[in-house]
Amino acid sequence: MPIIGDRQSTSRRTLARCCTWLFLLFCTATAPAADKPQRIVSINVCTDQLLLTLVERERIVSLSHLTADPYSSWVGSEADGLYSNRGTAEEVIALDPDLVVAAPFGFQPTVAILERLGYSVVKLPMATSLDDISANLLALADAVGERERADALIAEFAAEIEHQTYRDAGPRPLFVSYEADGWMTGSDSLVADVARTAGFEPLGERLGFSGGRRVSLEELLLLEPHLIDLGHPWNEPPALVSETMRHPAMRALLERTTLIEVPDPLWICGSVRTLEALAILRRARDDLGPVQGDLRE
Amino acid sequence: MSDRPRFFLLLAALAVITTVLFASSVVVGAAGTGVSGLLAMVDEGDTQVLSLIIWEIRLPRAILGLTIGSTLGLAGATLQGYLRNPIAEPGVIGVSTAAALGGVIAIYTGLSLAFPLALPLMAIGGALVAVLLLQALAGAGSVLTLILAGVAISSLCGALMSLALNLSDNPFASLEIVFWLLGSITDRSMTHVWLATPFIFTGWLLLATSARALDALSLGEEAALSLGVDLKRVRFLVVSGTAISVGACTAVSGVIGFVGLVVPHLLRPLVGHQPSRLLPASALAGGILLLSADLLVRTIDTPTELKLGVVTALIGGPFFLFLILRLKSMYGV
Repeated sequence: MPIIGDRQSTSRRTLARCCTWLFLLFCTATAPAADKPQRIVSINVCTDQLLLTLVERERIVSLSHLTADPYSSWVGSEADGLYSNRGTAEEVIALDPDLVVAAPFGFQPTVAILERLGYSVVKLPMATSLDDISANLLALADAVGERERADALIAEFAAEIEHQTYRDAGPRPLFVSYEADGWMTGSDSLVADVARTAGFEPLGERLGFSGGRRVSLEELLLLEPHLIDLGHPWNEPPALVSETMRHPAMRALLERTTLIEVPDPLWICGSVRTLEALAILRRARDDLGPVQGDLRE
Repeated sequence: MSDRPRFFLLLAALAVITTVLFASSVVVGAAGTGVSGLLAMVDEGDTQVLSLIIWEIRLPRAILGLTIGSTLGLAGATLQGYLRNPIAEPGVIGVSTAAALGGVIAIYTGLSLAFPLALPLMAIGGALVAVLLLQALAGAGSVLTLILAGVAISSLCGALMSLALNLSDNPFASLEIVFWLLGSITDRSMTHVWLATPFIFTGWLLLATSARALDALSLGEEAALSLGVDLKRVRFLVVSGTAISVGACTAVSGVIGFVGLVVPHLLRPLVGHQPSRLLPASALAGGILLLSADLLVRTIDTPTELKLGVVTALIGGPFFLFLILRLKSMYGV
């Protein structure tokens, strides 16, 4: 008895396999651009933005949940109607993607599972310079089959950077993006690269650290930057974080220096819109004019 | 009373060390360390920045370090004397965590924005509930009951605090759990000093008033009664004094543990095991311990400044274990 049963199930399996192959052949023949992935899932807020710049919305199945947050991303209503994922493997698998776009930071376990299960995953590192943005666009373009579109975009991008690059010699004014709670990024960050290109010396470079860290009010006060961007204050709902900005020493510093506002989403992630942050800083650089060498040097 | 001069000598020595550390706390920092660094800045005509740094950043930090350390030392000594329990300490028995929970509620509901005094008052309220609860649960109980009750209160308040912070829509709130659980006095301002010190001093006064009664209590409750000690009054002094001073401290610095545990134990042999003498000595030494810990966190070069509670726990944790071992050999607990 068991032998007959086995034979039956084997032939059934063969039949099922044949049908699958036929179905797949049929799909390849009729699909508009079969070589291009059509069910793309992005699980990181930064890769969401790159994906939207290169690929039609119809080919995207899902973007990360942070994309809907106006303080983290500029995507806004473009993500409406797309499934919003939290970057877990279970969700991604349920979406049945043919390409997963991920950033290697924070999602290693998810990426590892997906790769083990045979999903095609493209990993884009965090952009820490303007050049990285082009590199990421190119890498993604190859994965989604949009090389031509990317080449055109990158040429435009490079030309704009060229146009906004500050070239006058002389002492560079100090710039800091002093985020809520005193957090700032170091010399190897996108913010620092944008500031350098716009003609500033980033404070992270002066302090000589990489990555990100909390910089105390005392350190900030001592270096007295020429230009400060405070980022989103995170005052609402109330938390300790807003107390740094209410500190009397901070208020005194703000009276002595120039304040600008660069919307956080423009440079939290490197995207084509990072150029807008560059333009804001470049305008601020032109407004400052030539500066004296640092008082304390 | 031949040891009287020795006691005053001890107090004088502690006072001198406290003064030196307080002064160092104003002089040492990211901006040119030491007096020469400060004078160099004066030479460069940068007095405005210098005075901002000294008056608005370092002075409040030094004042808070001293008063908070003193409060924890004093409260630890008082609680140990009053409960006649060697492990009583605001951090270990959950009073600080309960105070932090009060502070968290005041800040994250926006109450303290509308009414700044709500911050210390809510923290004091939290501390008061914890002290009363402890007394009810383990007032005259064994060492073990007090520890267990303290662990329960501390875990519960810590969990409620984390819950409240995780529920906040502000993404930074969940990061601030670290501040509340490990404590810090970095970048606090004079506003915090004015908010906390009136309560802290009131608490000190209440605790100091209980000193004489603690001496009598060290002979046991019945002996104290026969010596004319009003037990209800002592209870009021210790409970309200601890809640008010520790509550106000925690409201501005978060939970800083172990200071009140370590300090009285180290000093007890030096003051002849007399509670009334232990109080002022512990207050001074508590200030010394916290000022040194704070100097350490700002001079050690870590990518992100260490929290004060990390340093005090590194000292206090092993000390606590040592204490348990000693209790075990003494009482066979």
